[in-house]
Amino acid sequence: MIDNIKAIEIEAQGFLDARKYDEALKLFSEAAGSYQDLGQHSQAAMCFALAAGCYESKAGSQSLYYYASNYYSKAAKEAEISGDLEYASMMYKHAGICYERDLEFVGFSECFYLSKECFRKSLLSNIFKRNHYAWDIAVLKRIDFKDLIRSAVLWLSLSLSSLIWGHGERPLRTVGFGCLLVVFSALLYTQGYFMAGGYIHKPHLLESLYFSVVTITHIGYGDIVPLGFNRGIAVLQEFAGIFILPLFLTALCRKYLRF
Amino acid sequence: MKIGIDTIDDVTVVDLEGELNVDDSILLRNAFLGVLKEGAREVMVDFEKVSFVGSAGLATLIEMMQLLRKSGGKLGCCNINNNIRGLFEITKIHKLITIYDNRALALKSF
Repeated sequence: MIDNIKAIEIEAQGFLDARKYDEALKLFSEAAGSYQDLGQHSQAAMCFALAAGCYESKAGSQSLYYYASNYYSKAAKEAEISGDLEYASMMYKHAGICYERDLEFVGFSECFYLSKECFRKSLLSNIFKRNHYAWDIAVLKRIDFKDLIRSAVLWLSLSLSSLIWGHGERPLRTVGFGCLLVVFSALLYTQGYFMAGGYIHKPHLLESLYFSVVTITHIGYGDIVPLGFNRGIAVLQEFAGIFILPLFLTALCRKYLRF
Repeated sequence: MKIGIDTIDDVTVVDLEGELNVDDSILLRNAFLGVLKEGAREVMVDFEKVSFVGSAGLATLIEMMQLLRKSGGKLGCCNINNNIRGLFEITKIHKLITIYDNRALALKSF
């Protein structure tokens, strides 16, 4: 079986060198399928990437970009299964670029999101799952801690971006995050005090929810005044509200104005 | 495939000769894990005498690059012929692994 795939690959590379992309992509695709059947996902990823490259090289008309992106997606999935997350991220990015050229924005959106997610996971893997050869003193001295910190900061910002708005491709996540923030803040408000109509009192949940919504949306009727600890929570919530609404609108426009 | 390993100025140079296909990539992987265990962190693979690189070879290079990166090291390739360079470019591997025109330039840059 392996010898057969090897022969297919050699033949395909011959076609590729001769710029016979049709023949080459068929053979690379066939080899990729065989590797998939054998469970050798990293080799399958490479063959799908080669097939995608053949389509992209051949692409002079838009429709071919669709096939190229399809194969890049397959390459990315196989790379993801085999644990090559950085390569998977790059393949998703190229799939996204080809989808965009083909004006296929649903595919572009999905691939852009997956590319960012794979990159985020690869950063985490680089930070925490350093292989066991790495932990001797000589190597520790050589580790670039600046790079490690840069990776950690990048991972944190990408995680936050994923959570709040799905890297700009999931506007509903912003709504969900906003709702969670409203409820969480309301629960915190019930632990402090409000002043309404000249009376200081400990608010019940409904009143806290009302105040939380009024605060995060920057309506600020002024009928309820937070006191002490609640004042700090209100400031933080208002600050978060400054970002949540624009993020939601940006993600919504970014996603739906493409169609 | 013949695999030669040498160390020049703290850089581990892996000389390959022949075809890098499914069986040979296992040999390369084992050789690479060996040098990694010995503490090599900067590895340069010389492709001067390589006539063919299959998908398994490309996958092994990606794996090597990842292992080295996790150990705080780096991987480079040099003396790649036009056909193999085309494969690197079509699979976008050239964006992950630094490619040098020749060995001297590679050793200077490491």
